[in-house]
Amino acid sequence: MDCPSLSQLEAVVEGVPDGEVSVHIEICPACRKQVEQVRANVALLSRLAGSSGDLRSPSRAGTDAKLTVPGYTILDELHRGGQGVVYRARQIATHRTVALKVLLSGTFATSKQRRRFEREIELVAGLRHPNIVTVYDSGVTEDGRHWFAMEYLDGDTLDEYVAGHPLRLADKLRLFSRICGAVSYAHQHGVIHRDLKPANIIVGADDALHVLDFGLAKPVNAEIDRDKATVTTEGSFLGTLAYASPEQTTGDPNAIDVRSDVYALGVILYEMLCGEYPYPVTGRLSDVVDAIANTPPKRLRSFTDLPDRLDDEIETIALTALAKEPARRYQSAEALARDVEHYLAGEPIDAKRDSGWYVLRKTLGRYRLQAAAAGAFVLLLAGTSVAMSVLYQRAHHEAEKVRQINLFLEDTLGSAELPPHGELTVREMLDEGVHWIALALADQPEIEASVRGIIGSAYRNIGRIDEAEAQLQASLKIRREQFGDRHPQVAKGISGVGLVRMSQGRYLEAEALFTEALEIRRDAFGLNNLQVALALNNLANVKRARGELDEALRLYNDSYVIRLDRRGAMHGDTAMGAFLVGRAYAELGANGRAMILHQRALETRRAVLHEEHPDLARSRTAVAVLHLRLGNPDAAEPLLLSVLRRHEAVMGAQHWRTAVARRLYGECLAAAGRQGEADLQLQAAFNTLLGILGPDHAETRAATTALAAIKEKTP
Amino acid sequence: MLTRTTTALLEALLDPADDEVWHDFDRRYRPILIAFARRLGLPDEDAADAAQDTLARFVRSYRDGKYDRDRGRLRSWIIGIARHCIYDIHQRRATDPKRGLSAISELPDESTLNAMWDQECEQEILRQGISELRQQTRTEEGTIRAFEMLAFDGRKPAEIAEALSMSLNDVYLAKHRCLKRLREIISQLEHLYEVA
Repeated sequence: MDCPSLSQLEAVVEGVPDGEVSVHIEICPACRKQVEQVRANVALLSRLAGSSGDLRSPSRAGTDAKLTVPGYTILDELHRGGQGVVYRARQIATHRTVALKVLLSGTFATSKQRRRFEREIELVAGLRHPNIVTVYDSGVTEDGRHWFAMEYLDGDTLDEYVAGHPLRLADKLRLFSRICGAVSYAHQHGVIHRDLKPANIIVGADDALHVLDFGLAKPVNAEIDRDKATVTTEGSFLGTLAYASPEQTTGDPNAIDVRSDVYALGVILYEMLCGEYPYPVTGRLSDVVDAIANTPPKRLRSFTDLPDRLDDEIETIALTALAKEPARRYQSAEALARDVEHYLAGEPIDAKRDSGWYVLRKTLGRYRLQAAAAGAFVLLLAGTSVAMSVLYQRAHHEAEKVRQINLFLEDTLGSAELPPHGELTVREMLDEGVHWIALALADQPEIEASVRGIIGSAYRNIGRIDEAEAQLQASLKIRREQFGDRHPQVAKGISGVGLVRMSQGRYLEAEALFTEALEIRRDAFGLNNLQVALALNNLANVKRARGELDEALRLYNDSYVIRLDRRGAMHGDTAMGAFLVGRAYAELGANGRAMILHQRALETRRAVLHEEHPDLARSRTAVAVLHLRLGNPDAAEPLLLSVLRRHEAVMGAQHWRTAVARRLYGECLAAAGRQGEADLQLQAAFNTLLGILGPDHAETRAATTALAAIKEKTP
Repeated sequence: MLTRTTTALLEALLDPADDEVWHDFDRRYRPILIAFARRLGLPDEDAADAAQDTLARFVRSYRDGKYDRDRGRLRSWIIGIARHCIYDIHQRRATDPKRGLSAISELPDESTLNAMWDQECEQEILRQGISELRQQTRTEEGTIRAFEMLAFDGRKPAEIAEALSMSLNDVYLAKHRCLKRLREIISQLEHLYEVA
């Protein structure tokens, strides 16, 4: 036959059988080549067809020109948000106006998340409650985006409504009680809202009240891990956290349950009552998360210019809903609604003020970090704490939750600068913790090992080395039994004991232990790993203590490089790495190199840490000392002054660390030729140091020397 | 039509006197950035602002030497900057935290962002390819019409033949020729964008 036409070739490529043409293609090289072309053309055509926007109009990037939802006519766009777009649309069959929400493509990173969403939307579509927006219909668009059609509502959001209507306390509470009722109904049908906020609550004509978007909040960063969660401090995308509960900020989806909604209701109630958030929710993300986790709500009774007097009982209701710890909240929206109803009826409420917490908070007062650490322990020890509830939970969640507790405790206790008179309290708590372990964790060896490890580290932090050793040895022993000798968990236990040896000055033993831990981790994780970086630092510390400064520098540097790679430059751990390398250079007299690293650490710490964080003060001091060494007291002065002010504010003027900061500041003033001011500061520092550390302490002697140097210069 | 690869472009970009290259870079990435910002929830006007901010910030920090090719792909770097800009605009629009994005959850994770970016790149390459194809087939009005009806309007070859008074075979020929040319254009664009 003659060569077939293009249309014949295309038909064959698209699978229409034509024996004669097929046979011809086999024997005709020109047609075979042509077929290749046709295939490529067909592929390109489907690529064009698969593209979502209109390719013919060059600059209308990413429009939804092609968006069609079968059965609906899209009328206009109501709202465009991070999750998707809401349109006003008409359902063709019924002529009713609906709100049509179309989620962004790529909303679900994994098919697991998608299935979970689909299951959830089924549940939501089953909800029928006068105060819950009805979902009529849902589906998936041609290009794979999920959509759902719901009742179209007109009205104000709750906050607009409250702002626009002069409501009396009782009116507000009745409104709030209806919200709780709707949430409670959803809970009973297996749906958690996860994103309750005034913008999701619409009050229409005749006070018709509707809660929107049940269960539609995207599964909260389901697979996020803690490392990623801290990366968000660098300004990645976060929306409002104002209504998020402490457990939602951990990024652990398993931690979220109906009590997370109770918490959000608590924030809503609080805001309805006084017009403010319970704690500051603007500013840096880390601060907001910290406030959610740690800052107790401002007393409602401190608002004096409200139309209605807020008494103890209503405050107790709000604070109970806002308890940081889920187990201390109302356990259901229904219980919260019930107490509000009790209150409205003048009956006694169920919630009781948790006095222990308040007493503790008052005792520890301005020591914010310490209070958080101590608070965590009280929670850990209390019968209703997470730890205890964990024990009775299903085994699957257990390890994960304990890991969360551990991380939290390690963060707080591990970095706490304990106040001298706070020590007793913390020690008592630790002693009680040891007692508690014996009772509660006897048959939970892995958790026992973990908790003993934490308690041991905490003992070490407050200088109770013997107690620390007992706990850490016990922890290591269990780990070896549970995991065998070469497991990363064992490496952790070994490091713990190593740190005790460091504290005891038994450097050779510490070195052997740290070396072993490092090797285990290297075998388990490879070289470029954060655990390895930690082990390198431990080993470097012991080398440094033994005076092997070159070797210490090399190890610190290896560790820093790993952190730089794994954490990025703008991370607290990386800053710590830079700081340690800088310190090693400084000790070797390489002031220029040291300055570069210390400044790098300072820059990062400024960006990622709280202004009062002790590490920030350390970095400022280090940079300032280098400036002094390099003969530049003017550059050092503002840094040292800010450290001094920070210490005064956090630890009090009479703390020895404050006195040391004052001495440094005095030396700096002296170097700058401001002898008079220097003399005052140095004298004050000396007096404090003499009183606390005695005349023979190195710090006191340093102050004496500095004072003497001034006296020489001033006749 | 673009003429330089992204790498060549990045090198030329270091010369602050070269306006042409900035223009080139702008043309290459602005539409992608706008589309990307829209997908992350910004309305048109804000998306245009976000693209502008991103490009400005990009060039500034690029010329400050903050981009190190060995440390990661250009894509991640631009996405990083774009995220910040988009976030800032969201924040600005949402001075009241209640009006802000809802919940921690709303920014897709990194791999999703990358995928979105790649899709928008693909989209932009196809779009530029079509526009270039039009340029190249300006003189063959029937050919390009037939192709567009077929590719975009979903019309059958027979219908097109009738509508444009062409023979059926001419329609197939037009389709074949346009697709072949478009493939060449796209593969060249992909080379220039360095996506393939």
